[in-house]
Amino acid sequence: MASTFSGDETAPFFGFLGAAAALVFSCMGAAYGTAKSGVGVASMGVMRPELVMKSIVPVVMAGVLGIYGLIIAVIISTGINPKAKSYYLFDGYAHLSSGLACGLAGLSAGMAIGIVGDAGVRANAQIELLLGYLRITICLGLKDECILRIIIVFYPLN
Amino acid sequence: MASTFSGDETAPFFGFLGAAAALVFSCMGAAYGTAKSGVGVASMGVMRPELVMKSIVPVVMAGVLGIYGLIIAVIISTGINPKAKSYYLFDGYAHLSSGLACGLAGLSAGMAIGIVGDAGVRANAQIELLLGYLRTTICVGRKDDCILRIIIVFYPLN
Repeated sequence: MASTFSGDETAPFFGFLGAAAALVFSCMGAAYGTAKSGVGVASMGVMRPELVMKSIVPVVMAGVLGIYGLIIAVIISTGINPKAKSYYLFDGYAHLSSGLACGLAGLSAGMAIGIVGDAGVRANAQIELLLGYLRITICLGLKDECILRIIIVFYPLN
Repeated sequence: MASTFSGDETAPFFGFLGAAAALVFSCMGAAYGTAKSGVGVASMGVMRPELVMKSIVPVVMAGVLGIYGLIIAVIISTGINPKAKSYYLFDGYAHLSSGLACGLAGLSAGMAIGIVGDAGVRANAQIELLLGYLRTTICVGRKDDCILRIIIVFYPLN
């Protein structure tokens, strides 16, 4: 009543919580993936220092997951503007679910990248070539899954 | 009241939560399956690099589980449109249960694919041929389980 925005008053709670969830959980996944793969690279680098630069791939893939969560959080946050466009509970729920979906998908993708990256990097130190491609393929597959999820979750909102 | 959509206001909360659940839990299953099978492939690839490409099967099967959850999430999200069609609590509960069913079924199928894929890949390194076909059959069976669950859960909604 004293406020100038339209729509439901408690709706931005859910919307902003969705933005925060997208950022936080994908960041957790990125951190786990980076940490676990990094430990593998460190252990492997003691024996084979020349393979360290090639084995950075899982670490970079896991870091990119955090960027995806950031993009989704920004998209959600800029979509919550009650002064410009009425923000109802419907929109709040939609933003919450998409943020949660993106964040938790990024969390699981990051954990998978960490586990596979750790094992793959250590195995790559022993057998080169084929195993390197395998590891990269797995990481790319997980990353593309995450991208697809983010993009397609967002179409119902617009 | 000030909003233009019909039906119950809190119903989209359950609906969108169902869409998020379908996505998130099947993604967790896909991540577990990919990670566990990938570790097995990495360990096996050290001894037998020529079998790595054939042992990708459980990894790919687990990744596909995530796509199933994505499809269900999209179907649920596009079904929540209070401006076009009244969205009551009934619809919200139905969407929540189907999303949970699909997601948790995908989670269990992914965990099964991961555990069996890890063991099968390591055994395949020692005995070829027959065990390869057995492992493929188990993974395909899990995947068909998941497909059937998704399809059958959706008929009551339409």
